[in-house]
Amino acid sequence: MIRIENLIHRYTIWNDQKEQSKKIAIDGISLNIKQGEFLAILGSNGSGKSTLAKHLNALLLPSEGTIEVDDLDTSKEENLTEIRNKVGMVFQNPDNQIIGTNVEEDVAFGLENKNMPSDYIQKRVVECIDTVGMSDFSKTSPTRLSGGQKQRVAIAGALADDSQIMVLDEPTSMLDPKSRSEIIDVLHRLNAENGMTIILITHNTDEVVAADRIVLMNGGKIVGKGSPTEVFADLELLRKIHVEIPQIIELGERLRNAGFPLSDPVLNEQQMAEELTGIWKVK
Amino acid sequence: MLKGVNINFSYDKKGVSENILNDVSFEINTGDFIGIIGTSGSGKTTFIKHFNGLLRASSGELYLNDQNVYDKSFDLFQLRKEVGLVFQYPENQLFKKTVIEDVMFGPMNLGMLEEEARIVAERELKFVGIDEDLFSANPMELSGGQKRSVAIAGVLAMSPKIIVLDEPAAGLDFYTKSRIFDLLKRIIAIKKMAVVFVSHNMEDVANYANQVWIMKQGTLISKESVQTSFSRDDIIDLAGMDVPEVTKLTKDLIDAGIPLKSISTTVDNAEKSLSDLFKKNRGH
Repeated sequence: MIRIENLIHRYTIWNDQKEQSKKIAIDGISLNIKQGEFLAILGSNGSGKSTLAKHLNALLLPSEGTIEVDDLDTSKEENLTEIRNKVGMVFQNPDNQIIGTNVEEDVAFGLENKNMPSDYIQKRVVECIDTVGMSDFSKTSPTRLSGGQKQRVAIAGALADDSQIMVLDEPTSMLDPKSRSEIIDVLHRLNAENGMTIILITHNTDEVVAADRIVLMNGGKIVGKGSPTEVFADLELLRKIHVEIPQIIELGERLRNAGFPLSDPVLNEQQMAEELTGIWKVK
Repeated sequence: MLKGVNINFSYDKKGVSENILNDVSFEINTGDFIGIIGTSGSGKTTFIKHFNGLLRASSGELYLNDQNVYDKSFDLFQLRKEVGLVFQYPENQLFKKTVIEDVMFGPMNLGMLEEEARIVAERELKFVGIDEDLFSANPMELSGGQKRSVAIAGVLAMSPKIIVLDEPAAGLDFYTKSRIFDLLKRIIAIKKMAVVFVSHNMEDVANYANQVWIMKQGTLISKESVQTSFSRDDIIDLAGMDVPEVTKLTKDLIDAGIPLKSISTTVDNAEKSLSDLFKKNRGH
């Protein structure tokens, strides 16, 4: 469980070593994230979503307010190791987070750093590589992997560390469509099978329609939250905060306005195909 | 304008040559808006680096206005001037203290005098939609979308005939992205140039490009209109890509026996063809 209370974060803008000004990146956020939840955070560039992500494993500390991860306050230094163990992070650019000379070594890095016994490391690494579907590439050099494969290795690394919570900051924005859906599938599997908490930060809206809950951010504030059905029923809000509306949801709105008796919203392509076929057959 | 014939490119790796591009032929003409798609590692970036001579083909020919670029007598400077390349995350390459100086850098490098370069830079900054009061700002103070527009202005200031962009929308949110693509549309319409962009976003390609070039392991496996390319399941699948959701929807509906005339590649088009068809059906 993550508990965020009245979080405020101010960045200092430095100019020629003279402090120039403060910029508020997060402006009073309170949010609880339950263990096992699949939470998506949506917002445009500059909405504060990445800044929020970096608070979840204490890469950034609050200027005001508190964040607790399983009752551990992130601002207390003695909690740091435990919090970093609990919360794994995956960033946008896969090339910046792979360090091993092959996939196994990379996934083992965190465990070796913690001086774990080597037979445990070996067993754990094999398991985690298998979980993300990369067993065929155990001995492969990361330079031979595609962007999506590298992101899966980064996820395996976080798994090996026994993270219970995984925070992903735009993990798919540099990937091609097939790799994108591979990553999203792995995340849903980890969530369903391992009960892992997934916090997915993205501006690819079609990746969030299967989340448990969506949080909308704008100007450092939470401006909306709810289930995908609730959030995608208010398209005006999404447009106002410059969040892209998935094609099928947009099409559904337009067709409803043209008199088609469709559900509000129609969340995905299968549902849309079924409803339209139904309408067609009735005539 | 720019034409490649049987371009091959290979790296030498420990004495073994590895082919990155295989017999690629293409042509780019004024008014073209071309989207190049393909998975990571399919050779897209290597391919476009040939357009302005950053890479030289191992074999094959490249023609600029019917002149062979690989002839000894050809001045590569000419190619660099006519074909402007915008890399991924071009904002990381802004390095001057002010926005205007950054845009002036290119034309001055081509030998333009400072006075003249300033006039050109002002014109191009206005064209890409940067407010005059930002001309003397530090580029680092601009938003992501503004920085990218400045980088594009820097290329336009060299008056190229073709602008080539590697993932122009990477990392931008939806709103900023549509502004960049609208700018590219204006570049074609007003400046009578050609725009070529590499993308992994099929929706962007469907919304903006009029031609799709599909790369797979260094081979250009298809050069067709968006409509034709996206209806070829076999080619899309082979390339490891995925069509937009509305394209999938219209395909599924056609398979289910609903008599749509063709697949849709954009929301606008899907809305229109579904409304028309269902209205007609109700009329009977």
